[in-house]
Amino acid sequence: MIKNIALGVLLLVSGFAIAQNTAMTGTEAKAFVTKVSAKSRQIKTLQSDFTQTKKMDFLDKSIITQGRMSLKAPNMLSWKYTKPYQYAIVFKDNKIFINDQGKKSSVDAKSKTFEKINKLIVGSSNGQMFNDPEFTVAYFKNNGFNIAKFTPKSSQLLKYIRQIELYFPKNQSTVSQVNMLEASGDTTNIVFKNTKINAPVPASEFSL
Amino acid sequence: MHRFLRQSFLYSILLLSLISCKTYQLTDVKPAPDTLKTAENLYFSSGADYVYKCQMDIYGNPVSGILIIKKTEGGAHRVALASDFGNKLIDFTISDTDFKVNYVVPDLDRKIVINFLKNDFRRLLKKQYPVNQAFENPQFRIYLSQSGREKYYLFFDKESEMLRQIIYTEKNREKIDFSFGAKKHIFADSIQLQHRDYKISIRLFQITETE
Repeated sequence: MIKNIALGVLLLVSGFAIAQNTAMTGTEAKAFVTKVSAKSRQIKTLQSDFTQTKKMDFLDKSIITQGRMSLKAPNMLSWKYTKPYQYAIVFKDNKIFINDQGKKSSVDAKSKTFEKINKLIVGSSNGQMFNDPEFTVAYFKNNGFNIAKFTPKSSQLLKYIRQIELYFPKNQSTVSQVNMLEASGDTTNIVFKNTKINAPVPASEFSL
Repeated sequence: MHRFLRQSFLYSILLLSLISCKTYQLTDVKPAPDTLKTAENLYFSSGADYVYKCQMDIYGNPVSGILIIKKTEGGAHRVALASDFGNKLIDFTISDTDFKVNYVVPDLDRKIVINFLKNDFRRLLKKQYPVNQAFENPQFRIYLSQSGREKYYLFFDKESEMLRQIIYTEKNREKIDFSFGAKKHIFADSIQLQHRDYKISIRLFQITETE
């Protein structure tokens, strides 16, 4: 009896969860991808403040870091953490430049992990990501957002990440939130604010 | 010829190990009355989240991230290192006697890496040191804790009574130097771990920004 009640409650709860995000129909998904891809092809620069929240099951509190990201098409990306510490990483000319609280270093961008990070961020801003052969994409919607959920295809990539969710506010073609579910079960969530499209980016943003 | 090569190889190894790891000796100290039976490193003794920005240098290769240390109910510690982007690189549970890897990213899943982290963090998180001898100089009271070939020298600031340094030696050779910056007994704001025989260092700075 208790088992049945528990099962009922579970079904009800999961029913609510599903009710919040409904899957898009094939036509809706196609229209969404076409719209975002078309709009993001017009993006020459992108600047945004971000707040990153890291949750681990054994921690009492989440770890919060903040910063600013700048992107310049086709392939310059700067990702700067300013709080609670200074750490900047710039992808430029197939190289990665790092300034870790004043300690500077650079590496060739041949590292697989960095390559994927770069592809992910640049790809999510220009819509290329929907065609990434490494992921299967499922599309959902709720009152405020269109949601694209990326699941890695290869077991190799699944060892790092289980799922990435991109939240696009309705009537906006850039991402406002990224949720990452890691293979370990931890989550990292990045919320973008004050997003500016095609505003001039000072060259200093991409030099460290 | 072969014998000559082997001999010179052995001599150079011997010479190298002598140079790379000098004998450690306390200088300019005098014996102090041995009042403490056990010296303690309390920097990881609270149940709070210890969150640090982490800079490692492994033979010139920088590794940056966020390091989290949390005392578990059984008295062991959970240690996790995440990249600055938030993704977890390694997560393990460690005590004086046990060690269990909860997660490790494929790139770091190497026995040598895991053993280094295991040994370094077991020493960093070790709380109690039975005292064999005590020394002092104008600034520090120094406790020597010895177990077989391993020795730990713990430097406590006389004025603040805070632990400032631990020097770990094996067969009297200096192996690791741990330095602590702190305002509270249970929380170090900054920690530096410097290997003396390998080009490996770990620097930690406390991050307060948590929710």
